[in-house]
Amino acid sequence: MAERTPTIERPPADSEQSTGAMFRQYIRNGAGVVLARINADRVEDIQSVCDLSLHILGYSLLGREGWPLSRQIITAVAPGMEQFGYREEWIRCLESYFTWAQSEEDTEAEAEIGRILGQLNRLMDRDSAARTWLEQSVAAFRLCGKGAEVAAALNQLGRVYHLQYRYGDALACANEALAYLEAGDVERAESHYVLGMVALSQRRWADAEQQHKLALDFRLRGEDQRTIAWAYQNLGLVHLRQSEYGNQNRLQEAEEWLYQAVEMLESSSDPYHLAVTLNNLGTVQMRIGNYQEALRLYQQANSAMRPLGGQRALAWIYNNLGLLYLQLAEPERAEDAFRDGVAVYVGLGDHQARLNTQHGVVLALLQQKRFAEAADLCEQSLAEIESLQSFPEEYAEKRGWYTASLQKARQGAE
Amino acid sequence: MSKQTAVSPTQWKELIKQALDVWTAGADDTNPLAALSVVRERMSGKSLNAAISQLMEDALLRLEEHAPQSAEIVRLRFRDQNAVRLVANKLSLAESSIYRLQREALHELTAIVVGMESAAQAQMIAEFEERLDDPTYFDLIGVDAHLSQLGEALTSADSPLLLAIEGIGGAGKTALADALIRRLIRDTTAYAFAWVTARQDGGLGSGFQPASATELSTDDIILSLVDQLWGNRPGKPSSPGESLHALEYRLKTPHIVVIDNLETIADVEKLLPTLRRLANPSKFLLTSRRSLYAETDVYHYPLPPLSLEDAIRLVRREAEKENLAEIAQLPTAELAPIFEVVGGNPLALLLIVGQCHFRPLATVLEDFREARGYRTEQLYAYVYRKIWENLDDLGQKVLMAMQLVPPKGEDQPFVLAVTGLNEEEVMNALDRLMILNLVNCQRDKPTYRYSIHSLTRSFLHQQALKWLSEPQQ
Repeated sequence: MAERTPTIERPPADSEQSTGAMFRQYIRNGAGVVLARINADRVEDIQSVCDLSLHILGYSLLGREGWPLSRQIITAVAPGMEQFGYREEWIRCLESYFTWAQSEEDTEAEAEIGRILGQLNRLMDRDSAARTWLEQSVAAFRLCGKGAEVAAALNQLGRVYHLQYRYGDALACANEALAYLEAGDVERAESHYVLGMVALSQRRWADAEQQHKLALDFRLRGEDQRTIAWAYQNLGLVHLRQSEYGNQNRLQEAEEWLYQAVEMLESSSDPYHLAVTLNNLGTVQMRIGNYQEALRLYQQANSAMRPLGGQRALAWIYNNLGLLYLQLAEPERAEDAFRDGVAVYVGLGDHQARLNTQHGVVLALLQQKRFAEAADLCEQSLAEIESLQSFPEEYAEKRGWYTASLQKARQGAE
Repeated sequence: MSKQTAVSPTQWKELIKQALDVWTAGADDTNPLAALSVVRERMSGKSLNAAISQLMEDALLRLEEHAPQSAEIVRLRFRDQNAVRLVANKLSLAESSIYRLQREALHELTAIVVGMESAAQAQMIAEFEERLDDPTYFDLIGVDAHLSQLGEALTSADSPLLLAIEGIGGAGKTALADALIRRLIRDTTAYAFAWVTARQDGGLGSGFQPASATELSTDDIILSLVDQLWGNRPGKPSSPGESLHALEYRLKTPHIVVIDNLETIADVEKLLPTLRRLANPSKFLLTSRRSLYAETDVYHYPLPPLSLEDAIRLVRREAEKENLAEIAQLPTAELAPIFEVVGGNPLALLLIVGQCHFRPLATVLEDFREARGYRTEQLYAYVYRKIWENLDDLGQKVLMAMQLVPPKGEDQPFVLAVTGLNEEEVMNALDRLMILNLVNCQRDKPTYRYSIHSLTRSFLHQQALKWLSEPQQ
């Protein structure tokens, strides 16, 4: 939050002040209004404050006017901007402010803006940019000797490493962050989140559950309904995955966690995480055979995620829609959805996930009795799959899928 | 029956007869019932045959509510094809009574279908109009010929599938497209309508672009169209590929789709081939500041400035609205010099009228004389500069502050805080700026929100760049 709210300055009674000086004063006054609104006890419309902030920050940047005030606005408004889905224009604005911070030799601001940029780029699935910003942020916070901030940036970096399948690096970031943080610091929730996600990806079910429960514990201490809902969603995800890949039916628990998360996220205005949760809840409904409810949830997730640009989440929604359409015996729609998912993963360069969704295309082709195309795609995918050998379980699983589908395609073609 | 014309009682009687025949003879695409809104709303995913049969069943259910015997006679005679004698036996009535009762039943059935059609039309009009933004104009002047020409081009069978209204900002492209679609919604039943808009806040497009200006992509356009055409109805497609396929199918039923502010779309080169794929029989009406002259299959409609006669009508109407009787009553010869100076640019004409609140027309025109012959962009820059120079100190201060107001507008306390002036000073200045057509005010209960036109913003941005380049003291 802002350190102070500036007072509004009246223009001089005579008109001796130059127009330029007066306009600069107006920009500072505008920034003051923004800060006062952010600091107000009850903000009526956070989104309009975000719009106004972006507008005023644009002018501050244009005139290089009022660095300390602008910096305060950025720090204060960043959580709202992230929550309400401001992305491209906010990133462009922050990049310009990063340059300004450098010219002001304000290392702490560089570190803070870098962390925000890293987080936003991660939410947009621009992993490489996110990593670069976060590495810079970690380095800059270290230079300032700000241990807790180093930890926060490390946690964000850990999230990115996890998305890039660099599990060892992700674990190292989270563990280092924990070493920096006090025992009761709510930021520890983020570290446990990273540890939990890596465990989940490696299918260490008990560890994943334990880490996400620890994360929930710290989120509860923070008393922020929005982040508590994130922890609920993650526990729901653990139970869902365990039901899908761990030979244990924990769908009922998954459903309970996820419905609680949806309820809280709806009242917290957090469209990104709401979309993620609805997508997982859709999968739970599909698994228990409520296909129409699953379809409704996927479509709701899709509508919420689309304007936010979360590419990986969108691809995952398309993949799930494809699976659902297969269940509903609508293979043409399934093929469209899977192919859309594949296209997004190609754009992201995430070939591991792409090979997963690509098998959906094969299934859709088989259901349409387009055996020759299915066989071609299986052969092409089996050749590619060798690159996954460093992930033995996934390698074996995908190899098994494609081999079985290839056999079906060949039998069908005969 | 593409034009929405009044159907006479005799025509209705004939239509109902044809509808009843569908039970036994079926219906092909040329069946006149296909043009009825009440049939179209029953066609989603069904054949024309099934939709007409459904309509008859629905109408008979209504008839049954107050006249069960009439409904039964119609079913027995027309759906089940029973002879009069058989029906008379079944209902224990004389054959002669059956003829009379059948006549009465058909009369009542016709009245029910007429009522259903009228409700369906009203609902369809409301549904289509809901897809449009609120109109930004009071009434339009000088657009009748454009409306006729574009209406003809859009609805004739052999016209191009893509049409573009092209012109400079402030020329009235969006207003014209809006008026055209509102007219067609009421005049024709041959098309359904949709509207996708990408708002433009950057004025003339030169200089500073506000940070909040965002661009739509082709996928965004596709997905917005899906949202509009499906709403939350079942079967709504989700992913872009699926949406494109679903739209291709949906737009086989003729639609007119408007894409407003084409120039703000990020990937026009990708969008146009997509629109070509979706068009036919549906048509796309585009509005654009940039000319699409290189696209040979696009019907170009460059929006010309107002004629002298229309420009004077606009000036008079604005003067009347603003209580400037001395201007409204001037003879044409004395108003014509306004046109000579700023031409037929609607916004420029309004700005000139606004000036007349504070200075005699002759003085205003003398001031703007130099603008004669300028191209539109230069003309606006010149007009705004002159207006700026003629503002008093307070007006300049408040207008300067107005560019710090985001496009959606802000309340009076914001302007007070930015300028540091007192309430009376700010309100006086805002009133004056509103009279000059430089500031707009919208009631947003319980407050009033003040905003500026995108062209005004563009001018002020240019000034801001100059002010901020002044050396700091």
